[in-house]
Amino acid sequence: MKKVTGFIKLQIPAGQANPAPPIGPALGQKGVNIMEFCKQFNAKTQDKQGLIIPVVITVFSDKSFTFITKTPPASVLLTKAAKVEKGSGEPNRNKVGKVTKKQIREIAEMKMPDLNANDVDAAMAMIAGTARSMGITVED
Amino acid sequence: MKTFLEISVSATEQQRELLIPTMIELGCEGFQETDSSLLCYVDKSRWKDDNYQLFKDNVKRMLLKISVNAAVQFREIKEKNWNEEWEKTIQPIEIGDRIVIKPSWCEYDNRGNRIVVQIDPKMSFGTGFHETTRLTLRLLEKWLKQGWTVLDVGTGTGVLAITAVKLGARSAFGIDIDEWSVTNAHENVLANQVVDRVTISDRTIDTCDSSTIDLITANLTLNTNIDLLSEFSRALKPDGYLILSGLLRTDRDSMIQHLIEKRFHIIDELCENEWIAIAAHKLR
Repeated sequence: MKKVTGFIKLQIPAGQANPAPPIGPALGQKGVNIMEFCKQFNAKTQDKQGLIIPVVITVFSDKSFTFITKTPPASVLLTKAAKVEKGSGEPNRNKVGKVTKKQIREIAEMKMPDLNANDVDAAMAMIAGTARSMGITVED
Repeated sequence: MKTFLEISVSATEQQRELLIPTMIELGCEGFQETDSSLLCYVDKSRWKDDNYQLFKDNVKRMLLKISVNAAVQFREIKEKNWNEEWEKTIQPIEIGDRIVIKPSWCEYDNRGNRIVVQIDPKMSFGTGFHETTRLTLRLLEKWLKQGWTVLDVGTGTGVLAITAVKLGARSAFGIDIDEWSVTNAHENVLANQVVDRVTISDRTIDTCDSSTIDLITANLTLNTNIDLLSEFSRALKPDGYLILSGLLRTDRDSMIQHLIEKRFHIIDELCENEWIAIAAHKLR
C-alpha cells in the first residue's frame, strides 16, 4: 500500500482549475503533477461552473494523488439563493437579504453528504443557522 | 510574469464559511485551508499601484467586521514554474506503435526507430503521462494522412501539433489562450526543430479561416468541446476529421449526440481508465 505523505485542502472555482495559486504552489511543493490535477478537476466539476468547490487532495509517497470534491460552502449557496454578494458584518442589526424555507431545504439536501446531520430537518436547521449568522432572514 | 497576493486570515472553520463569500466579492479566486488559517489568493495585476494599498486596507477593515480577532497577513507571490519538482520524475514514455515522448534531460535508446518528440512541460498540459494525451496521440497516429494540415485547439505543451508534423502532416497550428502554454509550446517547437511547419499562437478558433483544416485535435472538456463544435465544423474542410479528447466515460453519450447533430460520423473510439477519446468524420 502506498504511503500517504499529506493532505491539501483547497476551495477553487469549478471547471476553472489552473496552475495559479493556490493550486500551483500547494501541489508543486509536494511534487504532484499540477496539470494532471487541473485536467481531472475541471472534467469532473464542469457542470458546476460558477461555484466554489472544496476539494481534499491526498498525496502519496510516489507523488501520485487522489482527490474528493465536496459541496460548495453553505455561505456561498446562501448568497446565491438570496441574490446578495456577501453576508452582513453585523448580522443582528443589518439584514442583507432573504431566503425561503424551500431554498433552505434545497441547500440542505445538496449539502447533506458533507453535513454531520441525521436527517434533512437537522441539516436545514444548520443551514438556517448559517443564514442568520450572515444576516440573511429565513422566511416561510 | 504575474504576481499574486496571498491574504492569510486566522479563522475558525465557522468563520471561514462566512469569510469565503466576502473574499470572493473582493476578487479572490481560490483558497487554501491550513490548520489555523484561510489563505486567499488574488491576481495583483487587478489593481494599479495607487489603489493597491487602498485594497489592502479595505480587506483589513472588512475582515475585522466579520471576525474581530482575525490576524491578517499579506504576502506577494511571484509566478514561477511550480511544476519543477514533478518534472524531475518524468521519464521517456512510448505511446502507440511509433511515438515516444521524452524530456530534454533524459536519454532514450531508440532501438525501435520511434518518432521522438521532446517535451519539457513546465506548467502546460501535454506530456503523455495523462490518458487524454495518450488517447489523442494514438488516434492521431491512426487517422492522420501525409500532407494534411492540422489544427490543435488548446495546444498546451504543443505536443499534438509537434507530433502531427513528425507523423507526416504538412503543417500544424497550435492555439491556446493561456500565456504559459503559448510560451512553452514555442520552446518545444524550437527544441524539436519544426519551426518551419508548426505555428503556435494565442488566437482563438473563430479567427481561423473556414474550410482550411484537414484534421482538428481538441483535448479540452466536454462542455468546451460542445461549445466549439460549430467552429470546428466551420474550420474543417468538407470530409475533414476531428479528434476529441478530455472526455470522461460518462461524457460519451452527450458528446456523440452533439457530434451527430452537427453532421459528424463517428469513426473510432478509444478508452483508458475513466477517459475516452472520439474520432469523427465531417459529412459533406
